[in-house]
Amino acid sequence: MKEHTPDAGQSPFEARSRELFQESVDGMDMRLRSRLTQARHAALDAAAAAKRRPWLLRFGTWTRRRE
Amino acid sequence: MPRFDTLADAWMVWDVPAPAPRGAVLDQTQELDRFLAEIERRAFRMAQVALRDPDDALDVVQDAMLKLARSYAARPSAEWRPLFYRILENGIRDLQRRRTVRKKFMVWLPGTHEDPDNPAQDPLDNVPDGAPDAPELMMQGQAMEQLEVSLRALPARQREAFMLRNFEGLDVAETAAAMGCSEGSVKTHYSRAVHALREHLSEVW
Repeated sequence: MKEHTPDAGQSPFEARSRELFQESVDGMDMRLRSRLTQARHAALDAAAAAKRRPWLLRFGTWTRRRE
Repeated sequence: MPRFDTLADAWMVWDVPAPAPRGAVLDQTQELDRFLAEIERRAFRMAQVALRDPDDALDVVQDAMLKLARSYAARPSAEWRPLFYRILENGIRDLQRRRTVRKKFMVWLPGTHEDPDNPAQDPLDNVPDGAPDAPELMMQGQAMEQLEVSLRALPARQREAFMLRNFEGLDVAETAAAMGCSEGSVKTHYSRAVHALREHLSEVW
């Protein structure tokens, strides 16, 4: 997976903007972090539940085009 | 009678995906969990910059996570980032459209006399953004607030290009995939965004 790395060819203005944004991300309060973690787990659980459904009930199983 | 070398070949004849081994599904779920954990806070802040409301931003991010996990988890992990941001940007745009319609509708309701064209009367201006207000963070916070105000003043496509390229670190091809446009358009939007932001912020930074 690609890492989040700064672009070497950035101007000072772009670097400053990026730095400010990253600081605002790092300074996010714990309540919001916790809500994001809950949202992530809910999304992964919902996706897993959809996968567990019997294959006959999955809409599109028969019609999906293979890539 | 056809002969198949593997079970997967036999499944392909029936146009039904072969069931993945249980270990592979677990690995994929863990990898998706790591990917979402890595980007969720940046994605939230980007949505918050665009929408101003933390609850709306959280809803849009959760919806994007859900759609990615449901529909694209089987894709190679290298494709997840542009796919996720494409879903997120579509969600942001949908919400902004719904707000516009709601604002127009609210004007006709009794007791609401806001002028929808006057941003000073926008009720969302009064929504607290949850930013830290400790004295040592105040200077940084003010600079970021100024950047957010300038970003909101940009046309939507320029703002998207700037946030995806600069904040999220996507390259031109990934940004084009996320925005659903050509690489040339991404370069143009990004260049115009940097120029406009530099002009807005040169006096206050």
